Amino acid sequence: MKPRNILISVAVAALVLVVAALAFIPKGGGGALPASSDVVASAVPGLVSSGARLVDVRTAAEYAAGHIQGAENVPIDTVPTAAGGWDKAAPIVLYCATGARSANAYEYLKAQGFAKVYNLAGGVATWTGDLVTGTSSGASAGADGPATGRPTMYEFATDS
Amino acid sequence: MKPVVDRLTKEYAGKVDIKRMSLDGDDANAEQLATQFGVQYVPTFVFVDAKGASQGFVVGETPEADLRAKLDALLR
Repeated sequence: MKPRNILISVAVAALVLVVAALAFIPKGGGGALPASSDVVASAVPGLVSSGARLVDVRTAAEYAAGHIQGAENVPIDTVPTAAGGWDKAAPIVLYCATGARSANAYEYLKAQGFAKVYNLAGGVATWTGDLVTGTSSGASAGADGPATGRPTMYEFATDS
Repeated sequence: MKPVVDRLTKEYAGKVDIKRMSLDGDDANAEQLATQFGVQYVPTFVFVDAKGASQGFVVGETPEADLRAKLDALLR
């Protein structure tokens, strides 16, 4: 074989190897889930149905007043303790009221080596689906406001 | 939010009580209810059924359609 042909053969072989290697690189860590990041509310149901743990990092009172179905309440100051028992390879979706506290929890979990962590950008305020009241998923909060004999919407606001 | 809430108040009169709770510090009842519901940000809208049980809440400036959907859900 002439030196020129050898060169072409080597180049073709190298190209085949590169293409083959690229084809076998796992995409996004090997699953259909996107990389760890902020997610929008509409992406949460899909993540949860893919097996993600849904974690509400707000206070117990906020959680009781209304949370996303299936969420477990792990107030932000208890995340380090609770996360000790979590699978670092399993996906986790974090949320709070506005996305600020859950962003802190996100950074903490990423630093601890959790591979797939998602933060609901904008928090539960961006959630347009129903919220569940009570201290555990699906439970009723019971009488936690004065009975008026008529449904009531309270608007808590400031005048300033 | 005031024009939206005023409009909804008129529209749902007799069906849903819509109450503005001022958290400027001069209404002890409002402060107590806010604590009870775990309200941390304003505005927060809390939806309560006739028995006083919380049926959910929304935080922040909210589209009228979303408030309307929550109010309609209270009537079902």
